[in-house]
This record gives sequence, C-alpha cells and structure tokens, in this order.
Amino acid sequence: MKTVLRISMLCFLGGAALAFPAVATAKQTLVVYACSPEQTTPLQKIMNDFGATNDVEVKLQVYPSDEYMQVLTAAMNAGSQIDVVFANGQDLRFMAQKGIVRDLTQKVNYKDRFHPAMLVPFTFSDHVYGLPTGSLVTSGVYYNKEIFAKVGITRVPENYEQFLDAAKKIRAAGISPIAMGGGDVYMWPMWFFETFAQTTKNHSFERTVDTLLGKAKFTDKDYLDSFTWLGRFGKDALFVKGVNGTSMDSARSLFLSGKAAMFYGGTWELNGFYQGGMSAEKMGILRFPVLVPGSYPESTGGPGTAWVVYSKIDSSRADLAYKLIDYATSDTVNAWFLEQMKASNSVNRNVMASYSDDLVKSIATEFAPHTTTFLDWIWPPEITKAFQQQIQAVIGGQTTPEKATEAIQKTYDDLSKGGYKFYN
Amino acid sequence: MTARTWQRPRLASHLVLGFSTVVMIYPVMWVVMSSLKTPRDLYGDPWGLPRTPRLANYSEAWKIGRIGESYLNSILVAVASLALILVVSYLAAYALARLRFRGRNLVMVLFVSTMLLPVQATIIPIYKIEQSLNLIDTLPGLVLPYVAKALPFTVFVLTAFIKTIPTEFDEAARLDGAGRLRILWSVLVPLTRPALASVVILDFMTIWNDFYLPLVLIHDPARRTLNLGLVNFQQLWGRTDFTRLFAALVLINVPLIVVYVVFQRQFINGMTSGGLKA
Amino acid sequence: MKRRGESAAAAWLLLPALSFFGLFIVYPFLDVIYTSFTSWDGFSRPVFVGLKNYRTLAQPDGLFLKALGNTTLFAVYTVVGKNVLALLLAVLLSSRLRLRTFYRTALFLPVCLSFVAVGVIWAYVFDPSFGLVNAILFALGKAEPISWLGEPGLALVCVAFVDVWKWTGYHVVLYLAGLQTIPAELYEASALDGASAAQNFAYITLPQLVPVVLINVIISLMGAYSVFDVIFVMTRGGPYNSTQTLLTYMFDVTFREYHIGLGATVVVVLFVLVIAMTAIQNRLARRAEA
Repeated sequence: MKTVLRISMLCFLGGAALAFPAVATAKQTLVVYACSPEQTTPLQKIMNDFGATNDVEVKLQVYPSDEYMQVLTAAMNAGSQIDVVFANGQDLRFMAQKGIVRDLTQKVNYKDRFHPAMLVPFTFSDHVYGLPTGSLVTSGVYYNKEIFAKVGITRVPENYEQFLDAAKKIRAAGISPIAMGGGDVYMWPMWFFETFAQTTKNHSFERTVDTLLGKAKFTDKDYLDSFTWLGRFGKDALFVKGVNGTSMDSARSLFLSGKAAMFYGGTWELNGFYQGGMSAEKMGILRFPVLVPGSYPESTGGPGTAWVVYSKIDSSRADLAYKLIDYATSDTVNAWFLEQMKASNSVNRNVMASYSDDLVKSIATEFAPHTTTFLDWIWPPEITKAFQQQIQAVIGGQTTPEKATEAIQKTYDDLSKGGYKFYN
Repeated sequence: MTARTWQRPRLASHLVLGFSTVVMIYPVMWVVMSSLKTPRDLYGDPWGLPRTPRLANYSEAWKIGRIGESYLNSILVAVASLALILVVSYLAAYALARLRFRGRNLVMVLFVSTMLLPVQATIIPIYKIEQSLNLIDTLPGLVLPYVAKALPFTVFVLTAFIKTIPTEFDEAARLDGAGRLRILWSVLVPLTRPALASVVILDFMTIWNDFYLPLVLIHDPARRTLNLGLVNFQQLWGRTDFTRLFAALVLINVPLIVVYVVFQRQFINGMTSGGLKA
Repeated sequence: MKRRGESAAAAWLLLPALSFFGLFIVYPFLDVIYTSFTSWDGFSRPVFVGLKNYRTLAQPDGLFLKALGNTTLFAVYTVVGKNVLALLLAVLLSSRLRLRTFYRTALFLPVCLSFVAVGVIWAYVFDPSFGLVNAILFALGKAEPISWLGEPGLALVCVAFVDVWKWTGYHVVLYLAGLQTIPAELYEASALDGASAAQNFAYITLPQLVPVVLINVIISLMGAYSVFDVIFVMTRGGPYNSTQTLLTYMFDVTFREYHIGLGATVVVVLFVLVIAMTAIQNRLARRAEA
C-alpha cells in the first residue's frame, strides 16, 4: 500500500511537471479557437508560418464542432485569452449582436478579395464582422451512375415525376432510392431550404428575413407548401426505410456500399466519398428536383466558417490579429489550403482550384452560381430546433404540415414575447 | 456462501444465464470482430466473421488517434486522482464513522445529496475556478475536479464499511499506545481492503471513461485523455470508415475489463459487507 | 473520549475532503442556484429576473414538462428492468452452478465500457439498414425494417434497453451480496416444513432483501432521473422530443439556445427531486429496519 502511494505521488508530481504550461517567454502569443478537427494539420502549418515570419507564437486550439460553443462560452466567462476565433454563420450573428466580435469593416481593406456573395452572411448593417475562409459549400444530389445504368435510368431525372419514376425502378432492384441520415436532425433543414427556395420562386432569403422581422408568418402559404412537399417525400418512400432512425454516417455507408442509389448532401461529402471508393466516373451530381414549375432548383450553401476577432482582445495584440486573418485569407494561403483539403471552389474571387475533375467543375459551373445561403444561419437557434423536429416528424408522418407550421409560428411568438429582435 | 437446500432446475438456470450472457457480451464481441474487418467487409457482411483479419486497423488507429499519448495522460490522471481520493476519503470516512461531533449528519446528507449532480450543469463555474488557479490545459487541473466528484460516493461506501468493523480493534490498538492516524493506517486500512478495492474499481472506471471534463479543460491535443481522443477520432476518421473506430474502441476499453477481471473477487467482497449497510 | 477533542480531530480529518468538495462542488452549485434566478446568455451581464425561469418551466405545453414526463417513463422502464432482471440473475447465480464466475464476469462487462463506446455500438445495432436487430428479424421473415431510434415511442424504449443492458451487471453484484447475507438456517427450517421454491422466495428471500431492494431501487431511480450520456450519444433527445430528458433539455437550453439561467433552473429542480427521493428512501429504510 505504501509503495502504491509513493509511486502515485511520484506520478502525480511527474504529471504536474510535464503538464504545467511553459514559462512565459518574451514572445507575444496569439490564441486561435477553431472548430473543425479535419482541418487541423493545414491550419497548424498556416499558424506556424505566420508565427515564424512575425516572431509570435500562435496557439491553435481545435475542438469538435458539437461542443465548440460551450468551450468558447466557458473560456469567455473565465476571462481566458482569446484572440482569433472561427465562427459559422449561425453563431456569428449571435456573437455580433452581443458585441463579442470586432467590427472589421475599417480594419481590413481587402474585402474585394472575396466573392461578394460570400461576405453576405457575415455582414450586418453594412458592417463586416467575419472573413470567409477556405471553400464555399453548396448542395446537390449525388448519384451512383452504375446503379442508374443497371436499373435502366437513361436520362437524369429533373422534375418530381421523373424522380418518382427513377425511385420506382431503383426500389424494384432492391435498392433504396435516397440515403439520408434522418436521425441526425441538423440535416433536415437543408431539404426545407430546397423546397422553400422553389415555393418562394427563389426568394427564400428575403422571405425569411421578413418572417423574422414579423412582417410575414411561418404559417404563410409558401411555408405550408414546402412542408406539404416534404410530407410527400416521406409518403412517396423516396428515402431509405427507417430514415429517421438512420444516422448520417450510416447514410454515407449506404451510398458507398451501393445499397442506396442517391445521397443528398453538401459538397463537403465529396472527399469522403472519394476516400470511400467513389470517383468521377462512378458518381455524378444532380440538381434537386423541380417541384414548382417556373422556379429554379437552387442549391443551398454558403461560405464555410469565418475568421473573427474577439472584441475583448488585448489592444497590444489587435494589430497582430488583423495581420493574421489577412495572411490566412490571402490568395496564396487560400490556394494552398484548398490543395491540402482537396477542396474546390474558393471563397476567394481570384483563386482557381488546381484540383479538379468533372464533378468539381460541374459544382463550380452549375451549382455554385445558383446557391442561396443556408437559412438556419439567419434563424435563431429556437426556430432552427423547431424546424428540425417538425420536418423530421412530417417526413415520418407523425404530424401534418399545418400543425408543423403552427408549431414553428408558436415558437416564434414565444420568442417575440420574450424580447427577441432579429439582428440584421 | 450460504447453501441452498433445494435444487433449482439446472438447465433452466443455464439457459437464462447463458442467454443473458450472450446479450451482454455479443455486442462487445461484435465490435472486436468488426475492428478486424476492412470497410468493404463491414458493409457487405456486418454480422459475420471477418474474411481476412486486418490487424493494420489497430496500428493505424493507434498512430492516427495518438492513442499512446492519450494512454499516458489517462493513466497519469487516473492514478493521481485515485491516490488523492483514497487518502482524502479515508480520513473523512474515519471521522464520520468513528467520531462523534456536531454536524456529522449534516455532512453525510451533504455528500449523499450531491452525488448525482451532473458536471454539465456546473461546467462554467468550474472553468472559472480552474482559470483563476491557472490550471486550464493541465493534467493536475483535471485531477482536482475528479477528486471532488468522486468524494461523495467514496466517502459514503468507506464510512459504511468502517462502521461494520467492531471498535474493539481500535481499542486494542489504543491500549498499545497508538494515536488516531496510526490506528487508521495499521488497523483499519488492512481490514477495509475489499471496500477499497470496490471503490478503486468504480472510481477508476468513472475517471477513465469521462470525456466531458477533458473536453472543456484540455486544449492541447498532446494532453488529451483517451475518451476525448476517441470523440475526436470519431469526428475525423469515423465518418465513413468504422473499422478503425472500432479498433480504437477496443484499445481504449481493454484496461477496464482487465482491471475488473483481476480485482473482481475483492470487488464483490467489498460490495458485500459494508456497501449495503448504508 | 473527550467530546471536544473529537470535534477538533474530526475537523482536521474532514478538512481536505471538505475543501475539495467546497471548491469544486458546493461553490459551483451555489453559482448555479444564483444563475437560476437570472436571465443570462453567457456573454452579457446576467439580469436578475426572480422566479421567471421557474414559471417558464411550469408552462403547460412547454418542453420541460414533456422532458419530465419522458424522464419519468424512462425511470419506470429502467428501474423495473434493471431490478427485476438483476434479482432474477442474482438468484440464479447464488446457487452452486458450474460456470458461475464466468457468468458473473460476463454480466458485468458492459458496466466497464465507456458511454461513448456503448453509444457507438448500440447506434449501429439499432441501425435500420445495417443493424443486428433488423438483420435477425429479416432472417426470421420480417421484411420491413423497423426504425428503432426513429419512431417516437420506440426510441425511448430502445434507449432504456441500452441503459438496462449497461447497468444490470452492477445491480446483480449488489443483489448477490444481499442474498449472501440471508442466514442459511431460514431455508433449512423451511425445508423441514416442506416449503416449495416459490414459497421460499416469497416468504424468506424477498422480505430479507427489502433493504437491498430499496438501495438498488434508489440507485437506479436517481440514475434514471439524471440520465444524460446514453441519450446524448444515441438520439440527442429526438425523434420529435420523445427522448428529451431533464438533463438533455438542460443541455439544449444552456448550450444551444444560450439561456443559461433557464438551464440552471432545471438543475435546481432536478436536485430538489433527488433530495426528495433520498429523504423518502431514508424514511422507508428506517421503517423497514423497525
């Protein structure tokens, strides 16, 4: 017993010695919070390069995206050093409203570096609060060319009837039409964005802003029609059986193993699919079906995350922080970063991806130009959650489109009563 | 062991126990089997045996998931925490079991009632405290909250167990001129070994399996503990290829199983006597 | 024994434990109680709002009451499941049976696993397309796959099943220990009277086990009300809020909707519930000993 205690005391002290933060050096340090584990390696190199050139130590701290905001909240409350932070569209709106991030409009004079549409989600009242980074994302329906050929689909389906027809042929061969992880509710809003884009004759962004300002209701006809379409997708058995009990990981497996012919998702899936055995020969991307004649089946997407500067940053570090984000979003660094991530379609106007095949080219030419921003970047989290739950239930047949839209409107009404004001 | 004087139908017993065992063990066996497959194997035949076992999954998982590093961190944290827990709890349990003083009941109630307070609820104040103590992103910073969290249950069990030991032992030692601490060390500790074993196993499991506290308090990947590393691993590599994730799972959970199997007899003895007189 | 000396000694002995406890448990909890009376988004200054959060929780068709209902249902499933199963298995294991140690070790195996592992495993088992359960059903002739974690009522049952799976082994150990304390003479005496196994169980075993049953019930009850990990990993409260429990609701409200004050209120309510249950158990235990 005594020896055990002695050994553990030694371990404790040893661990303490190993673990205590290094003695402060004379160098300035910048702390960067990031939320995308898969980008850690290239990000680390970018930070290190900047650090070397500017004689500063850049500490990159990466967290799983699910828990990112909690850690940030705890750190902010405790007064930890935070200098530069990654934020996605949803969080940035909240953070700008609360004054957590700095206004970058005057500090950065390279706004023309980016595609104008990429700055929109990060701009409020003509003030820029975040700089987009990496690649833009958009959405599409991936499909397995071999399966299509096998079941006799000769022309790619474009409107809903053709999709239904294709689905029937696919099901007859014992394969699921569309793989979808309905259990991971955060994906369902994307389907809504697609239907809503069409039922609003491609004015989904404006309609959403109006609704959140109280000028329109979630029970209006275009919302209701969207939900009716979503209910039809469920009833017409477009998805893999048991879709609401399937996870996104499982849906990817279904698509990769040939058990499902199609997969609707974002362009961020491309890399994973390539690693899983797909290629530009075996796989293609379709546009979302045309539901409402006369509207264009826009894709939904936006820039990835944004670089923002913490508002309470120590003034001695502020300039360094601006320099860092200038460097990180510069064309050369951006191009290199895309190369590392095997991504295409930069948010930077003048960067062409060196990596490209037919699929990537089609994304750039057909999908990216017709992309409307993710609407849940505009919704407050309560509305997003309401949409997630209601869409899932409508697809699963547990509620009707009418009840779903009423439930969402009620959530909004409760929010307004509690003092919610849309921040724009 | 009390003898049963009537025969229970042996076949039925084996059937029920055997079925329960299969239900308990099969999912675990399945993870082990799947960890040896290739992804294609897994999709094609999820529930059968691997066609050709692929041990590379393990070495890859070890390297990519930085499991070696995480092991070291987890072991350091667990051992240090356990050492502190045992010392601190035993002193407290001795006081609660042997001494009479005002407020004794209050202290017991305080401990018991906070046993199930979830760490998510108090994470923001805890982060603030750690920040002011300059312990963020350090392993000792993990140890302190773990000790605090384990105290209620550990003190509870140890107190109950010490109470079952007749005070005559204490008396005898006192007559030999021993002071309180001496009595504690040379008389009570040896007699409470089974309870200590139980407490060590359960506290070790809780600390080893925790991922939330390291998630919030640890930033540097080099200081990650095992289950935090697993969550990260899942996000990075587990999205389309489950086989390596399963290999990582096996690597991470093996020590617990080993610890239990080795200590189980003392563990059961510990749960037997004092654990129930609560 | 001098009384005063004892108090002083007790103070020293308890000092380390109480320091840890005070700093990392009591102080944060007091902070949480205070926060429950404020409206706070985690960034701006907290605003004192009195009992407003408590009133919000009490809203008739609000999510909190639904979570409370789900948690209670979950508690019924798991407390009954764990205790009935564990008692049955313990009774079987307490006889002289070959392979007894093997069974006992095997049953405890799930207790050792981390909840991350448990979540990953069972999410896969319940997967509609790849999962074991549907594969077995398919082999038995049922062609239509069941969406285990996707159907509102079913999801809660599945999650409860996983919780029972994980913890039954632990309760088996507790019940085994309890069974060991029943004096053999009681059974020998009843054998002389020609009692059957069922009568033995009803008139000897169960009454003697009352305190043990009480402990197991309380432990499983408290565990059910504070369930979080298994649901967080498997269903996140869905589908359609059917697996939303007290702590998953608290988590969503605090970290997704930034109503830290409201989340704190849920914690306080849970704490009060736990204290009440402990108090009731104490009273019942005292009555049983009488």
